[in-house]
Amino acid sequence: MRQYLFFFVIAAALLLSACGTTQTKVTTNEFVAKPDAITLIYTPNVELSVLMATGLTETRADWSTSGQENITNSLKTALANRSGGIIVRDRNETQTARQVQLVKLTDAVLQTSLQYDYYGRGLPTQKDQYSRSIGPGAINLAGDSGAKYSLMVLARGSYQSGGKVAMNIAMAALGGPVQFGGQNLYAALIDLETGDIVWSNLATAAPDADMRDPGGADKLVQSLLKDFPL
Amino acid sequence: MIKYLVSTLIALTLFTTSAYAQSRPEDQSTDEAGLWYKMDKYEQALKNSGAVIDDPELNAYVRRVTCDITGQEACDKLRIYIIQEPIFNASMAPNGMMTVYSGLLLRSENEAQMACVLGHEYGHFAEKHSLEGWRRAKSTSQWMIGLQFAAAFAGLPPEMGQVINQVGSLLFYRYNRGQETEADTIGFNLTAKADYHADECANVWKNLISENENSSFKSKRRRGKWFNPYSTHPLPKDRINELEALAASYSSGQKTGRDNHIAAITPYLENWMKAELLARDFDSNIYLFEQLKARGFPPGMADYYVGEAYRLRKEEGDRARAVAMWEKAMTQEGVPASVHRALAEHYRKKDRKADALASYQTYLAQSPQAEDRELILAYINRLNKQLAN
Repeated sequence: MRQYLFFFVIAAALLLSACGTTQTKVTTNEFVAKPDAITLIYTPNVELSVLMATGLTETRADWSTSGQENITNSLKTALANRSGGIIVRDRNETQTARQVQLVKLTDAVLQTSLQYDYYGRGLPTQKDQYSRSIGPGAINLAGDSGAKYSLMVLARGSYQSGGKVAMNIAMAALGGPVQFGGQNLYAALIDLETGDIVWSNLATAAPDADMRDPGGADKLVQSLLKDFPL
Repeated sequence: MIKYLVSTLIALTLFTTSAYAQSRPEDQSTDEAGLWYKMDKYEQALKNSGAVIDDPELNAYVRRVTCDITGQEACDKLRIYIIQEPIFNASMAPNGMMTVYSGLLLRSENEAQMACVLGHEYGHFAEKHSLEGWRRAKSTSQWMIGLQFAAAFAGLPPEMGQVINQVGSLLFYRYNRGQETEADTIGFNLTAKADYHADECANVWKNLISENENSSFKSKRRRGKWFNPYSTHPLPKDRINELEALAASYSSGQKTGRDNHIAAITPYLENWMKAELLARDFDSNIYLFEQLKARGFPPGMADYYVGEAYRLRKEEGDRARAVAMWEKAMTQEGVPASVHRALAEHYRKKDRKADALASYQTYLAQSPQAEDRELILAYINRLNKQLAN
């Protein structure tokens, strides 16, 4: 029994110790911030799910929707007092065909950047540089808004179900594998004149920064926008 | 006899509980709402894909056939996307997004065959198969984990865990095949009820088997011949048996909608046959193109592409076979301008300069906007100079 208790304590410690981290990257391409420029903020691409006891994840529409709303509001609040203005644009709203393709391209470049620049699968040719771009066609995203930048945000996360917590404790006791959920918020600032990702950050949520509630989303966005260049 | 009785019973129950339309789930916290959320996102991306054919006429045709079999109310919940892809396939998402591949439209002989497949896909939607499948996956993985725990506590060797996993996934595949059979029945019933010829559903699979049997690739010739417990779909021959049993129990309508189908597809015929060649399965291409000709598509077009398949296959004697097909195509209805370019290239290589020149000129006269216009003009200039000397 004492042995079980020991594993329980370890499991509990692991569950509680997850704390928020961020990893900022700045382009190695030439970049001078345009301080008074307007930034176009696309509503984030969010998918939140429940991590079930069996290890399967199931998308939760309600969590994803509120996560998207909360992150959007937090971004608005956080960037409201910058010198340049902001425009919030719904990523699903009808735009020109070219803009739709550019948003899809940006999603693809963001995923690539996450995979190779953040999750440790670094490419040999990208070792000493951070040079991601969607190309100069990016200016088409601005349309007639006059925007000079666009901020694209991607959120993915899973939350353990009650069953999963119990399963982890049992697994820890048996010496088997344990799995925890976690939530990440990734943001990339794109210079619409060059198309370059001039700044990006991957924020991992601390336990008190749950994007499903407005307060948590504020905290998460604050850590996300640490070192934001505008 | 019993088999006959059973299929009659199935047919009767399905007719009475006619498929109903699905609505967007209201409670956003459910697994179903999660599926819809994910698929809505996927659809958003698909909607703007360059692979979607948005020609209003072709879309209206596919939609009309779909609505004819499902009824208007159900049809209003469907969004149909025609995808340019030379494969026999269609799919259905739980949120009402249906995708239909161009390869399926090309291979359907008539409205009725297309309706069988569209009705099958609609059956997945009406019966919420994605949701059922997901719930099944969840419950299967639960008891698998439960059994693994039990095996571990009982001190059984770790291999036992792998056995449990295998059994679980095999049962899941079997379940999936059951859903496919159910969808086949729904597709059949909707098609038959709309007064289409009841034999056409089985013909879809007969045609597919013949095409695969004519493949250049051994793996494709063997596809679907033997039972594989890891298959997501039943074997085509089993599907044929089921569908024929259903057809036997039904007094069939006579409508096939062949002429409408050919008229709707013909504008795309050249483009889609060209795409078929990309898979480099030339024996199967030759078989399919000959079939298309027999089904009533313009023979000049079909013959030209049979010639193309020979040219690309490059087996002993294929060059002569290709030229023979092109020359035959020239005398037939619906021949594309490209046949003159193909023949011109052949004549040029055979040093038949005057023939080559005439064919290049005919090609440009018939296809003045051709992509390779500048190249052809260069050939014409060179041939003119050579002939003048």
